Formats: sequence, structure tokens, C-alpha cells
Amino acid sequence: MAEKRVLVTDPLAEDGLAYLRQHVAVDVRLGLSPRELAEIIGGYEGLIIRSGTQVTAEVIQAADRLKVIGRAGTGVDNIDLEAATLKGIMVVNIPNSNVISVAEHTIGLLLALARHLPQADASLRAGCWSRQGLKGIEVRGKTLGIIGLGRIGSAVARRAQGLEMKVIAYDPFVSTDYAARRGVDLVSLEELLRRSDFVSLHLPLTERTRGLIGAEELAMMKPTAYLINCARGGIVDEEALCAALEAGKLAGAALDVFTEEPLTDSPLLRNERVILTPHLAATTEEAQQQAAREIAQQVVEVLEGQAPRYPVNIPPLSPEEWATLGPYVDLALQLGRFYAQLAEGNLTEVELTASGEVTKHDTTILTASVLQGVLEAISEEPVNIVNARLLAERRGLRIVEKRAPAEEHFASLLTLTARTTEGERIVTGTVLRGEPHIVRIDDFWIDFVARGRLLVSEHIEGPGILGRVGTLLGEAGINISFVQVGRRERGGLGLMVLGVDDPLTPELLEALMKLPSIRSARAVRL
Amino acid sequence: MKYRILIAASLSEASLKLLENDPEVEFEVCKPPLDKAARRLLADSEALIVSSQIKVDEELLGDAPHLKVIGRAGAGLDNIDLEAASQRGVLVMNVPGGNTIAAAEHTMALLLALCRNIPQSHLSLRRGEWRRDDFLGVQLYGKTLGIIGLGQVGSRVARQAQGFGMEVVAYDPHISVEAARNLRVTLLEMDELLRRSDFITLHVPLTPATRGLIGAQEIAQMKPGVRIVNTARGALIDSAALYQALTSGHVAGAALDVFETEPPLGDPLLALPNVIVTPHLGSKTREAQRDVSAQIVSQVLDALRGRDYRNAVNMPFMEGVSFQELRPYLSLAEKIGSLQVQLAQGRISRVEVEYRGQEVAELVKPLTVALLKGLLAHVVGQDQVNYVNAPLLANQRGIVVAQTKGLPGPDYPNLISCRLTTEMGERLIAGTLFSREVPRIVQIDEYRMDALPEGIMLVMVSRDVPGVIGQVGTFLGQHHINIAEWRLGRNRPGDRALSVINLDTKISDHVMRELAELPEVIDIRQVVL
Repeated sequence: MAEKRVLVTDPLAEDGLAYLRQHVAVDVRLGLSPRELAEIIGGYEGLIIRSGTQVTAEVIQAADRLKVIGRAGTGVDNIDLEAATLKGIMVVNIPNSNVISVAEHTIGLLLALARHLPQADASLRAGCWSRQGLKGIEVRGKTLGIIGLGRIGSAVARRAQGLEMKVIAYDPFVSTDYAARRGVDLVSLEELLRRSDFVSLHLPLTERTRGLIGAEELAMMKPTAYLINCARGGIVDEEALCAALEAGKLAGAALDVFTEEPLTDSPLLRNERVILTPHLAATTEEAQQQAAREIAQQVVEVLEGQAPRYPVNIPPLSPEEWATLGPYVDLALQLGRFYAQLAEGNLTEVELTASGEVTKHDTTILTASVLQGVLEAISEEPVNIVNARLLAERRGLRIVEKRAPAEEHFASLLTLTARTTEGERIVTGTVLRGEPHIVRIDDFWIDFVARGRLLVSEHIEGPGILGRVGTLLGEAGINISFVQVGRRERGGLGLMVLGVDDPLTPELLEALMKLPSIRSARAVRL
Repeated sequence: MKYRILIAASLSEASLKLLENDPEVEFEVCKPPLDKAARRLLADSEALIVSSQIKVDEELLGDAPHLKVIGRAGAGLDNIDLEAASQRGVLVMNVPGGNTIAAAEHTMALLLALCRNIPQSHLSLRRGEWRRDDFLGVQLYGKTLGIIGLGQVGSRVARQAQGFGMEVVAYDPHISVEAARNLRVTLLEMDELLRRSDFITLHVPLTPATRGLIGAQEIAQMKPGVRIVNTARGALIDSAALYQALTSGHVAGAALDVFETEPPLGDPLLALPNVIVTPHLGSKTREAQRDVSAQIVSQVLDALRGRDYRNAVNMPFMEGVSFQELRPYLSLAEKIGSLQVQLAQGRISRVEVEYRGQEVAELVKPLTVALLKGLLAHVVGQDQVNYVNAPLLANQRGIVVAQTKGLPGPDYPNLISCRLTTEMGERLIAGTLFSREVPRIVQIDEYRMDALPEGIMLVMVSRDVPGVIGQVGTFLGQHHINIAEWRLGRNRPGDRALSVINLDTKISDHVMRELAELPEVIDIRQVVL
């Protein structure tokens, strides 16, 4: 058998290269454009990248012999996963390699903020011995609020506790047990913002988290508090942050990530209360060595036909099974995502009940898919169908799988029952004409295709509600694609789901909430 | 009558409020240096609270006839002439340990900033650059942190570093193995610590013994790529040797909060890209300042009212004993402690003190405390130990303290004997007061003598053969070192003799080495009392 060929297109630590050279033919070509990469990729079975290489659809098209793409690190934003999956190319990564580096950088920035380190260093190097404006604060006894208590958030918590800080967290998708084992109190986002002396973000950038920390949230923070972001740019509204800092509503901020990278021209660069590092949180010798070594091993193993340790895109199903279960895997994912965007309170248990035809197959993959949908919103590690259950268990969630007899009206049904500290929520769906449909939310039976942007709102039943909501959306220039209304009894609680073509702004949701009879209004994107 | 307090330190608002609301207190705040108006206020004041900026000397004390208490808002006592204050019966108190947390956290802040190039990358980004590849960091996790000095600050740094998953090793000849084990810290000899550590941080006081502790020789023993943090005192490190190692790359980086001379104007270290610096900010936190303010104000008020004298550094307080009578004994006990620790080798495990004679037997408690204070001043730094915390500090360091009383012996009506046990052996030192005021050391181990415990001294064990005194005397003369007193004791003729030699000037390290090599010299040590 001919020797396998692997192309490396980003700098890879020597350990990794050495391992590859022992097992395969290696070419290192740095700084290729997607076009240049597309021209040569046809000759390789394996590709190893870091964050620098863009693996576009064009590259994938040309990758006729490619079996595996290895990412020496965590994030896979630079790979067109769908194109890779369609072409049958496995994408693998090293999901845990950056946990420690990011946690250490976070505390490094926290302490640098507390002691004005960059400012003090610059001032003394400039020959000035003044301590004016450099008096620091101690972190012992202060409260650190962690948003997102996954592996990185937990690692930050442990280090902060070593500094004798009090740690609280907001993460709706971990159990109180899980948090208690880490000595962390779970609180609501608002309480976290109000109580914390330092707030640190450890969650991914998703539809739900984009702009999570905006003007309103910043206004809730103490004027003496500091904000730290080592997660992803875009979670913090940078304009609102600058305004809050200038208005003295916040003592300072340390940012490692930005909405647009590289950060070249931004008022952040000129603000004395901001400490900036150029996306260095994961950049350590150790993290790179570990990632290089492990990705080289994993890519070689995959090329030798072994199962991947950290697959990002390949579902563990045969093509035949996939044909039947595929649409239900997608439905389960949408149920999970839908729930995640409506969630209140802290999740303790996820129950998935399958009924009808679908129960003839092994449904554990459906549970995994539901969990993926739920956890995507908060886990700072990429969640996929392979690791979802593991991540959920690590977060202390109870997972229950049930089967029920077929329902009269539906060939198959999937019901997600999510139990939280606040109560339980039920979302049921089915597959009709190959599309995922949601047919029940709590006690309300309705029916809509689980795709696109939705407005989900609860109200007290009565005439004119729909008209008022419709008018408000119309005035905001938002087009409605469908309306579904469910109710239990006349004059009782009703539920409304509207399909909308355009994003719903926080201001609009607030205006909706002010309408008489409206009890809640949530934007959901599937 | 109201207590008049002059404040020449920047105290927190809350502390000033406390004073304002006290009906028995009148106070004024003035800025250093003290001008004429301030001096006039001082003339009527019973208490003075100072920062490190005010020099409290003979002259200033002469202008303050009513002064009873000096409160130092902080730990350091370099600016206060303790002897002069004691002579005038003025109580001096400080706030030791008020900045422990601030210093420990600053150390961790510098360590992390050093590992991740935080100040450098911040500056680069602000200049509009985006150079991720130039700022590759290193992790703390799994690495070894070497802590030199496992006292209050060092122990706290150890705990914090353990939160980062670091292995912590320490060098501290004055802490028990058990105390270290409780902190989950491995005690090592200095050279082993230097060889094993990925990061080294210093937390020892500056004493004659620790000056230049980290020099070229020590740096050469360190791992290539080691990183060093110093938030203790600048003179602990030979900065020329450090500069050399930083430019050669043997030391990968250093974070410095303290310097040999402060401010470090023109120090070439400041220009190195692998060095990060802060202007002695280790104790500069709002919390430390607030706590120190609150503590010194309440200490001074309690002292003025005669309620409590915690953190007094120059006097003990006992009811019914006049200080004038007590003072010479306290001084003797303190000198015995200081002499013991300076002659000791290895970890101290036990201090036994025997008091013979009625006068000292009545003062067992304060005299033991004074002896421990003298001993610990060389361990934790003079500004960190006082008559109140000395027993506690000894206990924390795993030193067992025992005291016994006895009847007067045949030779001396009052005698303080102290036996110090270390892992290397035992030493006995006994002292007495002549005419109730002149301190004398009358025994060291089996050698009886009559030596003056004062100033710079050589303690020498030599063979008891003719010509030794001539030999050593000539040698010292050649090096222009004047001998004030020479007291000799011997066990039996022709065996060994012990000399205590009082000198006018200090002997340099290399002259000491030459002395040690003289043929009849068995052991020779320089101590300062």
C-alpha cells in the first residue's frame, strides 16, 4: 500500500511533525490561500490546520482523496463542516487542549485589571515612579461571576477559589449539584451582573449569546466592577462597553477577543480602563504542543482505519440507519435548540420520550442530538452528537430515555421534557414530509415547521391580541410568515408562535412585553 | 482632657471619621515633610501617626515632650529611631502583616503577566499591531514554583499557586517540616530549589544574611528558561547578574516590583523586553490601606487609654512592673535570642529558657517573648515581629518553646540560659546583668566567659595553643579592622578556646573566608546585635 500523504498548512509544534514523519509522508506548506490550497489538496489523504487556514467549500470540492481534516486545537469556525460532511471527509479536533491556557489567561487578566499592571509597567519604563492612579484592589473576598460553567468556566472557578474569591455562576444547563461540587452558587444572569465584582465570560458565540452583554446588562453591573472576555468577540456589545466605561458605569474591562479580528481601529484601543491582548488566551507552548502531538496521532489513527477520538462531524450511524433516523436526529436537535431558547431556571433533568415507528431503531442517538441542541447555547467547547451526552453528564444533568406506544395521529413522536429548578417544560415534535415540526409546547397543541426565526409568546386569551402584536411587528417592518395560536380555555393562558423573516431586536421584544395581556415574548432561531 | 493626635500619614476616610466621632480625641492632619506649623502641633501632641515618609529621630522627638505613642501606618520601621524613642519612654507600634494579601496577589498577578506577556501584548495592540505569534505564552499548570521564604506572604502564594495546579517547593531554614507539610509544600535546600524550579519567587526580609541572596552563582544553578518574580526587596537579587542572565536567555523573564535603589532611575533592567516592572506596588491596595488605617488608629487609641498595647515594637507592657527596671532584662533576653539565631545552623525545633534568680523568675513571660522577638527578627524581618506576635510566629514555624524557673546559682544572682535545638545540634547561651543594667554573655556551650553582647562581634572557636590571638589580631590589623574587646573562654587548657571579639567595623565576606582558613581557627562567625 502506498504511503499516506498528509499536508500541514499552519505552524505545528515539532513534536507533532516528528510523529507524522514517522508514520506518513508529510508536506508543510504555510500561508496558502484557499485557491492555492485547492490546487494541491487533491494529492493528500490528510490535512492538518490550526486557525489560520480557511478550508472553504472550494477546497473541499477539490479534495478528492482527502479522508480527514485535523484541527490542532478546538475551534472549527474556519472549516466548512457541511461541505466536508457531504463529501464524506471526517473532521477531528482536540477539544480540551486550551482549557488550562484560557483559564490561566483569564485570571491573569483579572489580576492585571485589579493591579493596573500594563499601566504600571508602561509608566515605570517611561521613567516615572509615581504611584498616582495605580493603587490596586485585592481580589480575596470579592465576587467573581462566571457566565458559562463548562470546563473552562470550572477551571477559572477553581483558580479564583485559590485566590479566596467567592464564585457565582450563570449557566442554565448545569445542575445545582454540579455547581455545588465546584463550590459555586448558581444564580440568574441579572443577579450575577448585580452582585459580581468581576464578570468573566465562558460561552460560545451563538445566535442566543450574540450581544448577550449589551447596554442594559452593563447598566446592571456595579460601577466598581470589571468585565473579562476570553471567550468570543461579539458576545459583548463593544460600542455599549465603551459608552459604559466612559460614563463611569464600569471600572474597567479586559478583552482578549473582539467582534472583528484583527482589532485595528476601535475606541477600545484608546480607553485607559481597558486591557487588551490579541487573542492570546489559548496561545501557550504547552497547549500548542499538546494539540500538535494529539492531532498528529489522531489523524494517523484515522488514516489507519481506527475510530476517531474526537470527531466533529461524523454521526456514528450506517448509511441505512441514517436514511431512516436522519430526519429524527435533526428533529431532536431542533427540539433541544428550541427548548434552550425558552429555558428558565436551572436544568436538572432531560427526558426524551420516543413513540411510534422510530422506536424500532436504537434511539440513543436521538437523545444525544437533543442534548447537543440544548448544550450548544452555553458550552464553550464545540458540542457535537458524539460528545453531547458526555458533556451533559459532566454537567451533572440527569438523562432519561423512554419509549411510549404510538400516538393516534402521528407515525412517530419525540417529546422533550426538561425539568428545571423552576418546573418542567415539554416540547413535542414529529417529522412530516421530511421536515421537523413542533406540534406541542407544554399544554398547547400547535403545528409549525421548526426552522427559521420565531416569536414565541404567552398571553391571556382575549380578542385583539393577535392584531396588536401584528401591528407592532408591522410598524417595525417585520414580515410574518405564519401564525399559530394555541389555548386551553377561553380567557385563559394562550400561546402564540409567529414565524418572522427578520431578526427581533431586544427593543421590539420589550415593546411587545408592554402590550396588555402579553405575559412573555421570546425570539427563537432554529 | 482630650488626647491630641497628629497624623502625618494618608489614612482612609473611614478611619478619620472614627477619630472625628470620638469625643475624647482632637486631631490634625499634615503632609510630609513636617513644616513649622506641624512641629508646633507636635509639641502638644500625645500621639503621632506616621507613614514611611516621616523620619522620626532624636531631633523630632526632642520637639515632642508630651509624646507617648508613635503609630506607624504600615509595617516598615526603617524611618523610626527605636532606641531614641525607647530612651524617651515613647511607645512605637506598627501594623505587621497588613499587606500580606496585597503582596501575595501582586506576586500571582506578576507571575501570570510574565508568563502571558500581558503588558507587552497590551502595548503592542494599542500601537495598532496584531502580533499573536510574538507572544507565545507558557502555562503554570504542572510546573514547579520555588518559593524562597515560606512566611505569611510565601505561604499564601503557595496556596494560590496550588489552585493553578502547580507543584510548590520552598526554601526556608526557619520553618518546620511539619508546618510546610500542612501547606503541602516540599522543603528543599537552596541549591536543590534553584535546580528544580520553573518559576522562583522571593519572600524573605532583607537582612545582612539575605542581601544579594540571588547572585550570579545562584542564577547559574537555575534551570535554563526559569522565570523570576521579586516583590520582596530589591537588594535580595544582584541586579547586574540578573541583567546578564536575562540578556543571555538563561533566565527567560523577570517580574520586579522592587529594586536595589528606588526609584530605579536609569536601571538597564527597565529596557529589557522580557522584564515587567511595577513601582513598588505590592502593598498598594485600597484594602491594605483601609485595614492598616483602621488598625493603627484603634491601636493608638487603645494605647493612649492604657487598654491594650498590641503590636508594640519597642516595649512590653506589664502591670506593676516599671519599664525602667524591666528594660535592661528585656534587652538582654532579646540579645541572647538574636545571638542564638545568628550562630544557629539548620532548622530550629526547640527553644528552652531557664531563669535563675528572683528578679528574672518574676519576668518569665515577657523575657521569653523578648528572647523570641530577638530570634525571629532574623527570620521574618524586624518589622514583622513584636512583643505580641512573637510566640504566635514561633508556634506557626513549629518551634517548641519551654521555660523553667530555678533558684539562683552560685555565680550570678540572676541568669538567663537559653538552649536552642536545631536539626544540626544544640547550643547553650547564658547571660546576666551586671549591676542590674550591664548585659553580659557569661557562657556559650561549655565555654565560660564574660563578653559584651553589642554591635559587631566575631564568635570564634579555635585551638587553645599559643599565638592564636596574635595571629588573628595581626590579620585583622592588616585589614584595618579595629578590635574593641576580646573575651576568651576555654573548656580545659590545651584543648579549645572560644573568643568573643567586639569590632568597630564590619568584616567583608571574603575577609571572613580568609579568617576561617587560618590554621588554628576551627569555626568563626560574624554576628551583629
